[in-house]
Amino acid sequence: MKNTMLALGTLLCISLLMLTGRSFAEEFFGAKFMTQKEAKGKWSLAPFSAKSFKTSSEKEKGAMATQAVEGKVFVGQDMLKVREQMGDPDSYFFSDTIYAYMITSNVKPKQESWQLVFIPDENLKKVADVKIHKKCCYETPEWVK
Amino acid sequence: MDVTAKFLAKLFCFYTFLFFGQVAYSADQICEKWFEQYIKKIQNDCELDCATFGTDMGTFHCANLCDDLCLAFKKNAASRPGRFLFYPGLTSAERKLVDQNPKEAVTVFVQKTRAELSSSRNFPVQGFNDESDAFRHYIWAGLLTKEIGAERAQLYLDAHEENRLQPPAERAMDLANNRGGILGTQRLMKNNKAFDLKALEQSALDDLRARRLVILNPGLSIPKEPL
Repeated sequence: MKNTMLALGTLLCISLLMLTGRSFAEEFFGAKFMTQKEAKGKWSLAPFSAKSFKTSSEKEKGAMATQAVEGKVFVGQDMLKVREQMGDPDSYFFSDTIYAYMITSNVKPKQESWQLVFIPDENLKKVADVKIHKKCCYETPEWVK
Repeated sequence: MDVTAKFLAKLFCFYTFLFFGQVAYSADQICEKWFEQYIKKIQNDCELDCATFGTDMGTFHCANLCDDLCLAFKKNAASRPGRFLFYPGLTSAERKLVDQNPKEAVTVFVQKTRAELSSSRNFPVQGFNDESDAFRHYIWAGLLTKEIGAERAQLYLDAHEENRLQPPAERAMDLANNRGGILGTQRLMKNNKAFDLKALEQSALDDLRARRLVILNPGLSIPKEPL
């Protein structure tokens, strides 16, 4: 009985650790991403066009971004290709190594806004992931104050 | 007699083996200690850096063990708690610094977050390579200088800029604004003013207005006082 409890406890601890690791890996510390379900509900889907993304309307951008995430656009390809085809980034997320393109237009202070981000692999060579990131508005965490 | 000679020969071999084994073990330990004192100097290529570490009469042979020492170091580094701090988009130089200095890396991460929040507060609408970007670099560099000193701060800031995905003009902008932040903090601390984030923000805004910072895509309005 005691051994069974011990084994279950260990298993629970390992699962919790793995879960924490997984959530860090997917969500990243202090960053929120839109789920595909939310994105489809908000903007629906539209064919992604790298060349016309930046000049499109917010609605078109949102729908294209949703499609980009759905189809894992540019994933596995050279990061520089993103910039080559989409143009210079017009936003920022965590580092200049991550290319960010605003979806929300005419953003006002403290208005919820979203951006399409292309996250590089460990070697900063290829696109590892594409996500829709919440740019604003986060609460200031206690550990920063 | 024959049996005794054989026994003695075996005993001699056994002790010889033990003696040389002990010497080799001690040599390994000496070299491990020697290697550890230089670990922070490892930049990009462990084997190459190791070969240039200073030696003396007691450690002159350690450079020959660099391959083994580096192999052990890399294996060890992979299991360090610093790994948990890895965030996407870190340059390889940043990863190495995080790996080698997990505690310090937490400070760097916290100050970076503070700088990002400060930039968002003072420039609620942000673009790319604009005033908010320059401001963020200035504040991060300034806060890091306060927390870990200019030399260590420079190490992390430079590591952040070792980015193949960034065009030279953008890198030059970031480096110049990082420099501004380091100097800004040094100025504030030298003047014996109570250093705080507001004072650093004011310094950054003053430098922005005086066009002492580099901005590739100007256009944002600069607040007179920190928001």
